Amino acid sequence: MLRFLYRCVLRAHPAYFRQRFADEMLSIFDQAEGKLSAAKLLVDGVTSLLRQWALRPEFWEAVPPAPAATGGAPFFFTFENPKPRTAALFYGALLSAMVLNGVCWTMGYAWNHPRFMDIRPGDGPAGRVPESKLISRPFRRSPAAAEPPLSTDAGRVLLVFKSPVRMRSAAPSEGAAGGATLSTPRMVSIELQAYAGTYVGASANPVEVLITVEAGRLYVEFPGEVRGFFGPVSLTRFVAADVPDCWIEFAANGDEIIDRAELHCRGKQITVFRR
Amino acid sequence: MKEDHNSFLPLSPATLHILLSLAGEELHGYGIMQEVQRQSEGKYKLGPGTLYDNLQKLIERRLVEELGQRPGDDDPRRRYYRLSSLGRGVLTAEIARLDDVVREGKLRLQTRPRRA
Repeated sequence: MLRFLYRCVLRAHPAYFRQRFADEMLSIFDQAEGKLSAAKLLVDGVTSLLRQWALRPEFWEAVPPAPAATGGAPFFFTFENPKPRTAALFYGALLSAMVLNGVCWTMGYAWNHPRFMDIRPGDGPAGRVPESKLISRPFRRSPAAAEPPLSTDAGRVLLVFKSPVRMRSAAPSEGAAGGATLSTPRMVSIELQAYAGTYVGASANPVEVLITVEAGRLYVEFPGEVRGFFGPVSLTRFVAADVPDCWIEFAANGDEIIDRAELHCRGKQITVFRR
Repeated sequence: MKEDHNSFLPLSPATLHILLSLAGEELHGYGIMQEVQRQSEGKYKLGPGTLYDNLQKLIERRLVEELGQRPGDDDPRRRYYRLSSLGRGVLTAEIARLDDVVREGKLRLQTRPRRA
């Protein structure tokens, strides 16, 4: 026990002193006869420990002399202690954690906070996507957030197609003819503002549909029928989030400007034109 | 260049005893402790902490040279030390200084006036 304590005391000495004399001091301790002598040496070691740290600062960072080369054999000597300082290890770990945290945060953060939606069409009639098939994966999900699944906070929506999608109407950004098939998975960006406006029915059917973008969501107001938030399922089709069996289909003219829409709601179908 | 031995004087008792013990032969640390005890007839005991603290300083000031280990020694952890020429000169100067002190002390004590 005393020997263990003595070794601990020797290890606590400054590196220069420890490297030069600790082994020899332990050798002397091993030659001590009786516990009394060993205890005296332990007290002497503690005194030496205090003396070296308190009164010998000039030797703290001193470099022990290199042993003489023997027999012409080369030898190597390290001028500094290769073991990093404890403080350096601590700051290194802290810096690594901060960098890793920053990289993870940057990877998870997008400039315009897009929401990715996994859309799996095909179960409904003629390209219709039942609402129950919409899968939303918001970037950041808070427990208190009860927002509808289809939303965006910058008037822009990213659609992710993982299976071929048949579109019945021309897409404004695609400029393709109706019925084009997207055969490969892809992402499409939608500017919601392109759909906003006031749409009116034909002269025989003077209805007025007001489409607005509020807080990054597309709202459709059809007096007497529906007023609510519609989420995109394709470039031209938006489905009501709160009203079942209700969606709106947009169409574009030759200049790729959306100029008309078909509102389907509870079995009714109304065609309206942009004012 | 001749070293100024007087710049090292006076020596502390521990330093003096260590240099004195090394004046005869090369010794390891435990041998120095035993030799110091023998020289002082047991009146001055040097612990390992004090011994190696002084050896550290003496080696740094080049008064003592470290020889390292000896292959045939019983304990391979032992290192041997010897007095350098500078250390021998300093020890000689210290002995001369002490000699003067002793002579002066004896003289003073012999000629001390007695009280009436």
